Amino acid sequence: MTKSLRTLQFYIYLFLFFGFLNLALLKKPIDLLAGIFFAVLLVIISVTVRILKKYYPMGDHLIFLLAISLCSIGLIMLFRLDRKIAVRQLVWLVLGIFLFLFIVLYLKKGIIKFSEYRYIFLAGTIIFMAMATFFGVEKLGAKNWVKIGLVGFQPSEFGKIFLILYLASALSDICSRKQLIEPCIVIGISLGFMVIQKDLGTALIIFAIAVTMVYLSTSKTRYVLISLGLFSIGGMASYAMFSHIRRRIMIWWNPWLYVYNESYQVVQSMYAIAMGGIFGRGLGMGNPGYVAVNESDFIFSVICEEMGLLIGFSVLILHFLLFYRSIRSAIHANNNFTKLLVSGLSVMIAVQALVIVGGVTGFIPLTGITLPFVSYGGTSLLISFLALGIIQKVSEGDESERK
Amino acid sequence: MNFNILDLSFLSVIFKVVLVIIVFLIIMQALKIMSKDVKRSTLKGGKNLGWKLRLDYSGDGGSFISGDIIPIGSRISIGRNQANQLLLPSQSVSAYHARIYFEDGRYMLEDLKSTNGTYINGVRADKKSLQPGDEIRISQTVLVVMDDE
Repeated sequence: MTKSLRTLQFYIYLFLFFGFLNLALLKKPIDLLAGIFFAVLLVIISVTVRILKKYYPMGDHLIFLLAISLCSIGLIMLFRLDRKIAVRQLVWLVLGIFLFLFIVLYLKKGIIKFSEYRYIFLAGTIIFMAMATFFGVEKLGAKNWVKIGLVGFQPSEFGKIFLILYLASALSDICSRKQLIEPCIVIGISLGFMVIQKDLGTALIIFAIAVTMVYLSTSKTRYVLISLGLFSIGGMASYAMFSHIRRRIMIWWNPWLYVYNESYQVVQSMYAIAMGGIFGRGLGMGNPGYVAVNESDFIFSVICEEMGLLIGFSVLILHFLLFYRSIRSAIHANNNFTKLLVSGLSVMIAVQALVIVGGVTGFIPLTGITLPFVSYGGTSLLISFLALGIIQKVSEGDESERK
Repeated sequence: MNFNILDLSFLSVIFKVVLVIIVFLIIMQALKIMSKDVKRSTLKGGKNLGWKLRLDYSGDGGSFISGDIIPIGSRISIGRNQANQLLLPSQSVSAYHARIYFEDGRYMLEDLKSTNGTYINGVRADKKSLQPGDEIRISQTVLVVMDDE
């Protein structure tokens, strides 16, 4: 077991080596920053793996390695796009890994004790979901960005985590239908705020998380059908009420009619993917400049263009494997709270990946969210590693209800 | 046709193919590690994974000594009574102390309401699924779960 993990780790090093060697050769004289990137990544990966192995030999080490392979693909692409952004992303990655290790090492007593803070989580959910409505700044068509001093962040990212924590504690001991009313109201309020902020991607993710967690805790298909029904009614209502939603659907239905106006982004993204072909055009050989927001939302299409459709597929496969592995640790968890928490968090990561990849390829209406672990974005990376830390913690399975 | 080895367009072809190959090596390796789970779920009734217990410390007498390997089979019972498969003749072990059985693709340990309890990795357990490497402690006896490797 450990030997095959070491081989996997070696392959990741090899990938980083060839990726950054390629990037270093793009410039003349040779770009030394790429070498520094490679060295830093090598050190953080090996140190983290060693710490995990030493203190928690029972944990699932594959989870971290899968996430870091996604981060490597993202970092190589970001370095190619813009070195300044890549440096910032590397700093965020280091911070994220610190957060990850902090959670894994310092939550010794286990996560179960958090199940008592239900109303704190409830308050956190409402505050973070509502924050951007009142203090928000509009950015790229969605009013979901809050600036405090110089630091800007997306409160809805924190809101999602609080919502999952709240739902996990509220649904863990569910036995009657009446107990469902309060969580449903909270979900409804969160969804409402997201629609007001025009952040449809997050609304979709919140919906997916809520349906999954309610189904997992009650195991009744009826609730899924009811929420799908409500979703379609709500969707139609907001289609009638809000012009930006109508525009999104219109672009998705036929992007070719509005190539130079509304659907410029999607069409350029599809062109980029088509230009790449199976093996891509090679790092530094494509024209990622045509793709808008190419460092965060549209990073998938840029990856497809320069590194090839096969790497694009592998991003999806790696996300799928990560999801499988996280759900596996949820199965081994020994109480309902951690089970629900871990499945909620892994659904959050997986749905986010599906929604944005579906969006940039024109499969579903495009909504601007980040591709977890790959896209540039401090908040998103920190939140993803926070979720990963909790999943890793649960995979150790050392929790007990008797404590 | 002259190939300049430092020519970027030639190198980038090599690089992009190499990168794709390595990424899929990563995926294959991850799948190889995961294949254990698949193997686990395709097992039908009667079959089991062939895990074993290794006796790390025997403080309760019995015919086993430290370092012995005991196959779990599809179930094994542990206790002081003669009817048990793993006999631990010590006063601090209950007559029928605990049992390990194979169910739904995993090994479960169940404490049979013993007086002094069964500990997995230092935590008292009622009923818990086992992982390779888990340390089971009953009275003074320490057993380590091993997979089929």
